[in-house]
Amino acid sequence: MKTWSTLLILISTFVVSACGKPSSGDDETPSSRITNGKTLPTISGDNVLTMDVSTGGGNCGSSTDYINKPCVSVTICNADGSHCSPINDLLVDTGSFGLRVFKSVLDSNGITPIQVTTSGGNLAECVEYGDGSKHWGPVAQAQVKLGNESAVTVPIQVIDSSYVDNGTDADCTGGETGPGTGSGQGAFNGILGVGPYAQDCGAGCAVNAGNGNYYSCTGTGCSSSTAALAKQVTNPVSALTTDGNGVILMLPDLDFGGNTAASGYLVLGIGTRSNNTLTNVTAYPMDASNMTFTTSYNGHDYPGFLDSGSNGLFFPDTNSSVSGCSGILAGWYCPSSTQNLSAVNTAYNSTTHGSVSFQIENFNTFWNSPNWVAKEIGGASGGLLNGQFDWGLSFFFGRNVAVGIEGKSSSLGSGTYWAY
Amino acid sequence: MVRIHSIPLICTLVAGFIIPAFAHATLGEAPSVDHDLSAMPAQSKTAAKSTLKSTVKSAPLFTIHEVQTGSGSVREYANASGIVFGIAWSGARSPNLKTLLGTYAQDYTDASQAQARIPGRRSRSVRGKNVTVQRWGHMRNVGGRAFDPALIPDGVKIEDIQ
Repeated sequence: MKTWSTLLILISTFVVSACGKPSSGDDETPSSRITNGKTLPTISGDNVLTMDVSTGGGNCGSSTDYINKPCVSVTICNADGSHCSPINDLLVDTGSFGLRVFKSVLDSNGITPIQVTTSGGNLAECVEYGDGSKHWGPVAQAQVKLGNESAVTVPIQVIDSSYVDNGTDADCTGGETGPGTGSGQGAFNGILGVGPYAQDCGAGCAVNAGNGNYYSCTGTGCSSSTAALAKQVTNPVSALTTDGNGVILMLPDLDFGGNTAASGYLVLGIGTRSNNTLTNVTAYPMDASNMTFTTSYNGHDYPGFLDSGSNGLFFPDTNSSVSGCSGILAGWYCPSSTQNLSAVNTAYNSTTHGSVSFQIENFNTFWNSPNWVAKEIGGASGGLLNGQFDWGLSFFFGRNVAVGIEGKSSSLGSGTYWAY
Repeated sequence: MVRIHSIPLICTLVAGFIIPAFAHATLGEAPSVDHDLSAMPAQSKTAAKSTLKSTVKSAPLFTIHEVQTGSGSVREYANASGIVFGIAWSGARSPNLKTLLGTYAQDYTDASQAQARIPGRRSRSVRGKNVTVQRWGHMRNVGGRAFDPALIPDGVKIEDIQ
């Protein structure tokens, strides 16, 4: 339940289109707030993490921060395994790669990752996201335990906006300052990037110092730096021995108009065990250079992608019947009546394609309901005719969506691919 | 997604702009030289476009100066007077906007800080006093454009800056 102070902050900063939603006025416990339209069969195994969506409890932390926010808990340890602590409220993001956690969260849990060094200094990174937010901070080795899998030791990013002055090179000022829901804060403890790459930058950052991501820092400042693949922030799934070829997001279907919360699974590995062998899905290879396939909508072809870290369906507003909201909800779609729409996804370099039917309801109606999760919500993506089609979390409800990691094979094909 | 072309260096086409006063030429100025954008190796090309629409024009509405950076490409759109009215980029990462926006950088920073982010979005449009900056994409694949609405020539649409 939101407090008055939180509400006031949200109103004053206009962060109200996705958080600061009108309260349902209830005080219910998280478990009783889960009213899925449909229930998933129980799945268990060492490779299974429970994934909550906007539950305001459980894996999503103590507050319901924003709509369609998928969260898991992961155990993070010192690099030598000497101390471990479960960290919840980690955003499950198929649109990024690697684990990033706010320093204050690691500190309060007694976790001290070991700084990764590079020539002449400590390796740090500036990450920017499509919404304009940034994460700045050092890269450090930690042990990460996903589900009941054996721990893997990978570089993670310690998000710390106050880390040594990054100077003019990084242009990373204004990075998120903490896990809270106030202005300039993340509204999560961190991000678990489980997208289709093993590293968050790739080969380019290993050879090109001016990559814009990585910096070498001393006590006085930072300068642009290369980062060898082994030193880049790494998708911990890719480091798993048996289940390292990708993930499957399993979320229940929802009622029309949404539900108060939802809960499903983040399953590690694709076709490596009986609990992650999918049938009745189609694999869509993606362009490995930029993680897209083609989405054809309203007479245009767009680069499309499936992104659990986006909280709606975001596509160019070329359809006049899908009108936008106004006021504080600007950016979302508010058609006068629910629109029945469709698009065709076509795999990269392949004739494999399939139509996706979806709906867009009036976001203002959803906003004023007690619900925090929904399939039928969307908004305009940037770029207009050269924009992108972002299949956010709304797409994932009622589906099993697999994300195949680059260079790794499964019964569904060789990564990079999505399958659903 | 706009592809990164493999383009030979055509320095002669931009040599006329390589003067000290424009060492950091950016939005609102003449097209930049390669090394302005970053320390990384870059290749550039310049092309004249009459228009991206079907209208027949006898004179170009704008010229495009494209620079390949280590993480993508940047395209500067200059009007008939050679003034950059818009910039578009695409690639694995955004270019250093502080450099590209030049005198508009503070305007963008102020407007950006005044406008809180909306969690869960992959796009953002920031409108400053004199510059509009639109960004979109996800990690390892981003795009965007920046422009001064007052400088856009007649007949050119915002989406032409791509």
